[in-house]
Amino acid sequence: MSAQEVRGAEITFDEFVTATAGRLLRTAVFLVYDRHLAEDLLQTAYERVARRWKRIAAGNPEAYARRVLVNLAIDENKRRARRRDFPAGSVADVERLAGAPPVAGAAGGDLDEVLRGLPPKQRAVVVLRYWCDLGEHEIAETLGISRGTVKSHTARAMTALREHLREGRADGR
Amino acid sequence: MDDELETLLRDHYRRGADEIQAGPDLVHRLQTAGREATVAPVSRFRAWTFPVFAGVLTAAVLVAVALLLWPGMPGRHEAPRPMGPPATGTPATGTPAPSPSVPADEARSSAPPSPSGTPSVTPSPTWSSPQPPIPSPTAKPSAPSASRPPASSGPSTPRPPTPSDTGLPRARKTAAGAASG
Repeated sequence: MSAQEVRGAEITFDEFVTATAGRLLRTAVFLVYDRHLAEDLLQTAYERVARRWKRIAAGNPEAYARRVLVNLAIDENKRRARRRDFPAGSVADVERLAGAPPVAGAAGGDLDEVLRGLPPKQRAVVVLRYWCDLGEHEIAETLGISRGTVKSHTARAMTALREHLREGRADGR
Repeated sequence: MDDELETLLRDHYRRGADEIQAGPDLVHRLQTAGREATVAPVSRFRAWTFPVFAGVLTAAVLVAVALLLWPGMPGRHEAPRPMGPPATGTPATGTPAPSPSVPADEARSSAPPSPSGTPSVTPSPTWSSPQPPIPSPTAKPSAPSASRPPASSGPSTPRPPTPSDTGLPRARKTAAGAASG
């Protein structure tokens, strides 16, 4: 995400949405791995931004929108994890979800599988660090956690990914 | 190893981002949602006005009906109930309790206690309906009833018993009238 963040001092809300929708949509997709859910979460985030537009327009509305979006995605991932523990649908639904192909809109592959398997906060830290190019301090502000927690989440996520790479190389030999 | 992993992650996200585009429809939808969210408080207030008003009205009607129909509410007169036989002031069986208002000397002089201790219960006419005037063949309708009571008007002609009478007091009276006449 190399594009300059949009400052809201002299733009309208519609212009802000036009400028940031693509970036925030990609962030949402990388967080939840579901295009439709990502659009819904992004819409909720923009609604919250619009309600506080007068207050946040002078500052950094994109950072605020991203913070809302990431926290919505973490909550949604936790909810989905709970639902996976206690499936509420029929047997056919569970089988269909278990054998679902890679979600459209997100790149497939083994790395995606590993990233999807990470806990919600670890996945959010990885996305904010390697997709949004945020530093530890900004990630801590976005998630509302300390820098030490950011470091530990990053370290655990990297360990899991390293393990995956090592296994992949071992399988390749 | 870490550098390699970081490069791999950045490439992975960059490749994935190429496939994810926000179309004009989505942008328009997001703009509309934001605009609607800013005006939502007023419309939400309007949307809830009618249900709240209907609820308040229903509650008021229910409270009013409950206040009107609740038995035993102050200021509400109950329907008259059919009365039983009147209480004579003394129980039918047992010793009469001395009343505190009457002095003991006066009570002793006015009414000596009966040896048995049980007061004599005299039958009384029922309270259900007032006694109708007893028709007598000799009594004229124009004559005032206070100057000449109907019981002493005609001793020779026995008065037929009325259904509302209990029988005993009137029978005593007629017997006394016959004895005196």
